[in-house]
Amino acid sequence: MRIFIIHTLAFAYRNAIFAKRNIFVVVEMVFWPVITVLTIGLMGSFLALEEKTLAFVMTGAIASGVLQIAQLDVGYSILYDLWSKSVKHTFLTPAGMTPAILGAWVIGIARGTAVMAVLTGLSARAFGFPLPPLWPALVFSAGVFWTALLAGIVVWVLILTFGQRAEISVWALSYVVMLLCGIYYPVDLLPQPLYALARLLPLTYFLDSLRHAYGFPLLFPRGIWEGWALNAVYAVLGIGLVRAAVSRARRTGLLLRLSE
Amino acid sequence: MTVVSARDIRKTYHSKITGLPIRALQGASVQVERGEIFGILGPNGAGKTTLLNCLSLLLYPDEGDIELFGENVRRSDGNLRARLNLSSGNANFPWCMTVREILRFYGMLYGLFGKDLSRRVEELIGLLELGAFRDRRFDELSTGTKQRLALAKALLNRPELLFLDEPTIGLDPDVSIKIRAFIRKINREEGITVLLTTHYMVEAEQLAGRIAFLHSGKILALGTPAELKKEVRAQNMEEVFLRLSRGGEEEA
Repeated sequence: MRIFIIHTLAFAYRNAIFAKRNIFVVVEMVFWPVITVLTIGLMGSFLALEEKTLAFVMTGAIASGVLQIAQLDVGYSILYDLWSKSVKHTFLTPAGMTPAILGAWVIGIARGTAVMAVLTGLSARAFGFPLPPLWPALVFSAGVFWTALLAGIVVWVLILTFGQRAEISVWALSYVVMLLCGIYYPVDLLPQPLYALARLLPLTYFLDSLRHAYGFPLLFPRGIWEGWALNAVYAVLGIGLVRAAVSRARRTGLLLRLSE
Repeated sequence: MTVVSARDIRKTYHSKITGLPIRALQGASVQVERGEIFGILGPNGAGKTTLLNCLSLLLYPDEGDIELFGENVRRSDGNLRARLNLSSGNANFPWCMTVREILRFYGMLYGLFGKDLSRRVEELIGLLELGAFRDRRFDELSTGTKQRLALAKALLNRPELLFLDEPTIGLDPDVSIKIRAFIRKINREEGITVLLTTHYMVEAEQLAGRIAFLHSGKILALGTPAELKKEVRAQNMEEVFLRLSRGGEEEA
């Protein structure tokens, strides 16, 4: 257990250094999420949205920014190795991939929490966004961070399966997730096939539950439980897929090609 | 004691463009004893690095058996990884991390922490004369310094088995001489078994007690430098290289 924690801390240490030293990490943390919140807030003002409806769309905008930042860290953990061509040195060590993912996720949560604080403060101050009650907000935050972990794991699996060409997934995935789980609209507006997909995403249930705190009817009465059940299943499945992808990459030589 | 025992290792890749099979290793077998410096020599594309990657558990062979320290790698590769390490030519590490941070990061991946980690990192910084570069970022280092850093990284876990892939490639002669001296020193003083690939005949002759000559994924000859010279009636290792390479091409 001690060694597992040390391995986890090692990856957190590396992500923290990258977050501190690279300007793109700072820009993506502040620039895009703030632009999104400002755009949606201004649109809300133009459409003269009532407070409740404004809260509905602002929760989507804030969740989008937080999810994006938190999952980037998890995905970046493999990409930092890939971009610096040091994949083989990491995979040579006895450290497993679970600590690599968890260590990066810890930094993702820290960065995501900072983004959440900035965006919530900005939304409240500039557009009168009403702050949600504490408990639903905490459950929602936990759900967003867990979804970020899962999205990051998907990035890992894609890169370890398809190589560098899959790196685009680190930026694209969270947008697809947000589209499906109702970023600015209730998911029952989605066409049936997309609605079916939305029901497979834990974040759908967490957004629904937070919006319920603003007075919207619950689309999924036992949504929180369904969301966490899906989270647990996907986490186990995801870690299994990462292990299988690493093993396959060692067989095909992809692990070494990623170091070239 | 036998540290590395590889029997009939085969590895085939498929060309991304033509899809045709590329037989990188065609039944290579080697046995390396504790405390040896074992050289793997051969022309470009002979399969040296592929063999090294299989032995260092970075690449799984299609066929064949590998035992490290008497343990079959298919059964317990996690534990075995803690006992080996690798340094390759053209070393690459995270560009924005400093020498000290890189060593701390990899040190933690080998289970070091707290005072043990700090002590080992400082010890290696001193041993490889990296003190002046301690707080320099990786992308600011010269090739020679990067190579010394790669060696320092490879010694973090006090490996019993060290793989060196072209350890002096692209280095100035004076830096190469220092690195060779260092390899001899750690082998002699710390008893580390070293398995190295190289293009340089001088390096192979100076460092390796035994050499395997690889061509087209097969081991064509194996022995001490003197035995190899005798076997192909050559005056020096360059001649050995040329004769065995030509022989290998005819056979292929």
